[in-house]
Amino acid sequence: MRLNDLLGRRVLDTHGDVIGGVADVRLVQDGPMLVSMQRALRVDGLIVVENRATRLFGYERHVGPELLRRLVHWRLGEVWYLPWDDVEDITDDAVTTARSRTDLHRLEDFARY
Amino acid sequence: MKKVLGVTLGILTAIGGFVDIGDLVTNALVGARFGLHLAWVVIVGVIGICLYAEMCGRVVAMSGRPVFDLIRERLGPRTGLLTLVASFLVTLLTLIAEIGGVALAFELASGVNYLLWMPLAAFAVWLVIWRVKFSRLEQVFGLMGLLLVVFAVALFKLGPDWGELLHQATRPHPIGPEDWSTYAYFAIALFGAAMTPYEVFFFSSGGVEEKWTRRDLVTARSNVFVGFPLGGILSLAIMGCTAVLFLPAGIQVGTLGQVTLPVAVALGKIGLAIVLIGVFAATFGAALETALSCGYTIAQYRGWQWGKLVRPREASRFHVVMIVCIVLAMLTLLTSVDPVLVTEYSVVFAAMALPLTYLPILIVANDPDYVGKETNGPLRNAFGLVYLALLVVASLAAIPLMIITKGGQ
Amino acid sequence: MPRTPDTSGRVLHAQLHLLDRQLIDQADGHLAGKIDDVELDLDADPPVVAALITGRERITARRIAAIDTAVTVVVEDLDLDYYDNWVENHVIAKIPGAGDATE
Repeated sequence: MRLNDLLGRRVLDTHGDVIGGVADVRLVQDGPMLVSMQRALRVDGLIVVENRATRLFGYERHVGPELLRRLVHWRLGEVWYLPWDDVEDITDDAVTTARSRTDLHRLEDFARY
Repeated sequence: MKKVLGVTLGILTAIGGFVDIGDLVTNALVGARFGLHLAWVVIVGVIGICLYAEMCGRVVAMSGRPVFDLIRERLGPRTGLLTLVASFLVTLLTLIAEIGGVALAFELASGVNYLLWMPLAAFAVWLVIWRVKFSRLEQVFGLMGLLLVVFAVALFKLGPDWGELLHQATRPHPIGPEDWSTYAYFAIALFGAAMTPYEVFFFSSGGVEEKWTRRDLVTARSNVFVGFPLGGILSLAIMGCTAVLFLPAGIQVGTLGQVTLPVAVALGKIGLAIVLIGVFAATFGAALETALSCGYTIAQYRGWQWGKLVRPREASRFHVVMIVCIVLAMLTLLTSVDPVLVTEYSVVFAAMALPLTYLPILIVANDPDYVGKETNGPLRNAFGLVYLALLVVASLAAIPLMIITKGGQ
Repeated sequence: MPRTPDTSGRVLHAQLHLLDRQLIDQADGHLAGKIDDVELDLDADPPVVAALITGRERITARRIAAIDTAVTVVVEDLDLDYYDNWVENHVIAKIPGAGDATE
C-alpha cells in the first residue's frame, strides 16, 4: 500500500466513530535483515491526529520555535499513537481499530523520538 | 586575500536584493519623494534578510540542503508547488528587468538604443552562466558592483545638511503631497525588495556551489553580515543622493539617467563612468542571480541534479530551464515593455511567495536533524517569528495598496 | 497494556523523514530525484517498507544505503536519469562546452 494513500485516512474506533486521521507512520529499523546488511524499516504504528487538515510540520517532536509548535498542536487537536497491533483493519477509505477513543494513548507517552 | 574574497557570495546576493535595476530606481524614486522618511524600512529589511540568510547558510553548512529542498519537504508537494510557482514568477520577472537593466546601462554609456543591446545582454548573461566558474562569477560581479559605493562618495561631496537628513530619517511619516497609502506602499515595496525570495535561494544554493561544510559556518556568517549591510548602505546612499538633489526641487525620478545624475553632479565625468560600471555590474550580477535562481528553484523542487559545480551535461534540465528563461526574458523585452515596470508586477507574486518561503526556513533552522546542535536560540526565534508576522502583513497589504495607489502614484 | 516499542532500532516517521526527501546516488553523489511516495508491505509479518517511489521508478528497500537529510540509495541498473539524459542528448550536448568542468 502507498504511504500517500494511507496518510489522511479516517481512523474509526471500535464503535465506528471517526477518531481522526492518519498523520504519519512510525517506522523502526529493526525488521528482518536485508541483502544490504541493514534491517528493514518495520511499520511500528500510526500517528493519528484529531483534526485531519493540518500537517505536523515535524512538530510531533519537541522542537522549536515554541510558538509555532503550540500553534500547530492547537490546530491538530489531540495527537495519539496507535500501535500496529491495535490496528484491526484497513478498508477502502478508513483504518479501524478495536480500541475506543478513551483507550488511546497520546503520542508523548511513548519513547520520545 | 582569500578571506576578503570569501564574502563575495554574500555581497553578490545582497546586490541582487538591494541594488538591482528595480531597487536602483525605487530607492532613487523614494528619496526624491519622501527624502529619508522611509530609510528605517531599509534597516528593518537588512536585519530581516541577515536573520534568515544566516539560517539558510547554517542549514546548508550543516546539512548540505538548499532552501527549496526544505520548502518542499516541510510544506509538502502541493503547497511547495504553489511556493515554486509564485517565487519562480517573481524571479523570472526580475530576470527580465535585469537583462533590460544591463541593456539600459549600455544605452546610457553609448547612446545606442537599449533594444539593440538586448540580445547581446541576454547572450552575455547566458555565456557567463555556461562557462564561468561560480566563485569567479561571484567575485567579479560582487566586487565590481561595490563600485556603486560611489553614491555614498557623491552624497558626501554634495555637502548635504546632515542634520536635516537625520531629522527626516527619524520621522517615519509621509511628507508633502504624499499620503499614508503611498507611504505604506513604498514601505512594503522596500521591505519586500530587501527580503525577496531569490536572495535566499541564491545564497543557499551558492553555499552548496561553494561546497560549504560545518567548518564553513564562520564563512557563511561573514558572508551574511558583510554582504547585506553593505547592500543596505548602498540603498541608503542612493536614497540620500536623490533626497538631497531632487526632493527640494520636487523632481520625480523615473529613469536610470536620473538615478545616476547625483553622481555626475557631485563627481563629474569620472564619477559618472564609475557609476555606470557599477550599474552594469549590479544589474548583470542580479541577472546572473535571478537566472541561476530560476534554475535552482525548479531543479530543487523536482530533485534534479543542479548547479555549476557539475559539468553542464550532468545537469541538463537545470541548464535548459535557464536557457528557456533567458530567451523568454529577451523576447519579452523586445516587445519594448519598460523593464522597470516589470518589477512592479512581480510585487503581486512576491506577496504570495514571501511567507511560504520563509516559514520552512524558520522551522528547519530549529530542527536537530538538519542543523545538529546549531539550532536557533530563543532570541533568534523571537526575531524570526516577528519577521514572519511582518512578511504576512506585508503580503496581505501589498495588493490592496497597489490597487489603491495605482502602483505608487 | 500498550506494547512498549522496541527502541533498539532507529525510529523514523515516514512522512517526515522519507517523503519529499532528496535521493542521492551512492556511487557518485549525483542527485536522483525526490521520494514521491513510499510503498508499504502491510501484509508481511512484520509489515515493512518495501520500496521508495520516485516518478515512475521503484527503488526497493534493499537499495537504501543511508537515511539522513537526504536518502542515499544504490542505483546500479535503475534508470533514474532518463529525462535528464534525454535532455542532455538532444539539447545540451549540442552546445559547445557542455562537457567542460568549470571548476
